[in-house]
Amino acid sequence: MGRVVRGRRPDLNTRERVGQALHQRIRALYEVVVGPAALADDSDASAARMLQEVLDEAERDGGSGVLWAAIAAVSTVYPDETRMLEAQRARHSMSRDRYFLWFLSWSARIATLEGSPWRPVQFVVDSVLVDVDRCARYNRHTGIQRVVRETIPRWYGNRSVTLARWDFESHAYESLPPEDEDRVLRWGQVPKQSEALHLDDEHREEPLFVPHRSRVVLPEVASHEQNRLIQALGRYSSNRVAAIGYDCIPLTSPDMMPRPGGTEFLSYMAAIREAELVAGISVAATAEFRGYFQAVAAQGGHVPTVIECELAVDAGPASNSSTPDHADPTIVVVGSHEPRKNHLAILHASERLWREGLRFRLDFYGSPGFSDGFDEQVHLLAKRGRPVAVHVGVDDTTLWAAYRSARFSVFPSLHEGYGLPVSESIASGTPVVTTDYGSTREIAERGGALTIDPRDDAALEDAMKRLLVDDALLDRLRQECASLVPRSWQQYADELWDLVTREAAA
Amino acid sequence: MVQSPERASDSIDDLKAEQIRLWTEYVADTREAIDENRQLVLDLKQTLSWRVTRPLRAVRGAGRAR
Repeated sequence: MGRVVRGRRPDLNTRERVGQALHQRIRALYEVVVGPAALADDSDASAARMLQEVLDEAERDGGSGVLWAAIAAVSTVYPDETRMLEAQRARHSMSRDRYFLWFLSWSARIATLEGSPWRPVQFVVDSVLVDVDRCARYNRHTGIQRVVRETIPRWYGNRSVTLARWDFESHAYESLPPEDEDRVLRWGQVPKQSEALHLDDEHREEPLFVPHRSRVVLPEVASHEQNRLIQALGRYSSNRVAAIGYDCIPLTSPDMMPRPGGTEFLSYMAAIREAELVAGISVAATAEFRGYFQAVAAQGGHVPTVIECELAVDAGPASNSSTPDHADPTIVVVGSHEPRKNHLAILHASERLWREGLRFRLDFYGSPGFSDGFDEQVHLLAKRGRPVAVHVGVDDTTLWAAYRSARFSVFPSLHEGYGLPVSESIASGTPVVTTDYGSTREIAERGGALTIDPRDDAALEDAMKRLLVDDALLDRLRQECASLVPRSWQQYADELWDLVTREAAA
Repeated sequence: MVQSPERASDSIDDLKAEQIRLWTEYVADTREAIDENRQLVLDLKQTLSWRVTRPLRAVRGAGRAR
C-alpha cells in the first residue's frame, strides 16, 4: 500500500487498486468454478452476482474445495482449519442472502489484517504446483536443497510445472522473482546471488497463486505458519498434496536435535498427514513415515499412502583441479557438524590410530551445525600436530575431487533418512565406512562399503584401520564401487513425477 | 407497504453490490490507516531515540572532557 500524507482523506487510488483487484479475483474465481464471465462488466453488481453464484456452487458442490478457493481468492489468505469450519458453520446457520453479506464482511477483516488485498490472483488449475520456498529464498545447499535442486529443474524443462514460494507473511503462494528462480533451477550454473532481505516483498504486486484441482508438491519441510495452511489445503481444497518424506528424526531421535521435540516438525507431520502421498527417500525413511501414520490412524481420519522412491546420486562433475597431493592417504568425512553425524567418534578413532603410528590425513567437509564439542576437539588435535582439517562452504567440484582423491570416506551417522555422502562416495569410486542399519545399510549392501555399529568406537577404529593397512580389501571395495551403476537424478525425477501425478487409486 | 417479489429481489441484489463497494472501501481505508499508524510509530521511535540519546551523549561527552 502506498504511503499517505497524514491528515488527508484516504487516497482514492488505493480504493481503486483494491477494488480492481477484488473484481479481478472474483472474476477469476467465477471462471474457474462456474464458467466464462461476461466481458467488460466490472460493476459491483456484476461482482456480487458472480460471487453469489460461486457461493451457491460451493453449497451444491458437497465438498469443500470451492469454499476453500473462494476464501483464498477473496481474502488473499489461504484459510486454516478454524476458518474453514467457521465459514461452513456460518452457512449452515443463516439464509443464503445473509450468508453472502457475512462472507464479505468476514473476508474483509481477514484481507485487511493479514492479506494483500491489492494483489490479483492466478488460479493454477489441473496442473502441478511445487512449493520451493526455502530453496528459492536461501543459499543453503545441504541434503534437502540438493534433492530439490537436482529434481525440480528436471521436471521444469519439459513438464507443466508452476514453482511457488510463500508470500511475505506466509499466507498464500506466489511466483518466484528471477533471482529466486535461479537458486532453484540454475544452482551452480549462474553466480550465487546474495540472499536478499526481501524487504520489498511486502509490496509485491504480482498475482498470488490459488491452486485448484491441482497437485501441490512439497519437496521441502515447511515452517510452522505454512504448515497450518498446508494442512487445511490438503484437507479442504480440491488439490491433492504429495510430499517427499526425508526422515522423522525430530520425532524418533529428538535427543539428537538442537531443540528436542520441535513443534515445527510436529506441525509438518500434521500437515502432510493430509497429503495423498508421501514419497520416502529410502526403505528406512518410508518405514518411519508409515509407522507414524499407522500410529495416528488409531484416532481415525485420513492418512497418506507412503511409497518408497529412493534418492539418486550422480558421479559428480569431473574436475581439472585436484585437492592438494599429500604423501599420506586422506580420509574424507562429509556432513554438517552435529551430534547425529557422530564426528566425535571419528576424531576419537583417528587419534587412537595416529597414536598407533598410522599416517593419514583427516579432512572434514560440511557446514557448521550445532555445538557438541567438535570444534574444540579439532582445535586440540590440530594443536598436537595431527593432520586434521575442516572445510566449510566448498563447491560441488571441490567436494567431488575430495571424494575421488581420498583413500576412503567415513560416515558413521547415528540416524539418517538417506545418507547422500555414502552413495556419493561409492559413485566416485571411493569405499566408505558407514552405519550397519537404516538407509546407509541399504546403500552399503550393494557393495563398496564396510558397515559398523556407529556406537561401537572399537568397531569404527578397526574398520578405519583395515582400510588404511589392507590394500587388498581396499582394492576389492574399489572394484565393487566401479561395478555399481548409480541411480541417476533423472531416474529419480521421472519416478517421483509419475508418483505425484498418478491418478488416485479408486 | 407490500413489495413485489421482483422488487425485493432487486433490493437484495443492490444490497449485495453495495456490500462489494463497502468491502473495497473498508479494506482500502483501514489498510491505509494501519500503514499511517505504522509510520507514526516509526517516527515516534526515532524522535524518542533522539530525545533520549542526544542528552545522554552530551552527558557522556562532558564526562570525558573532565
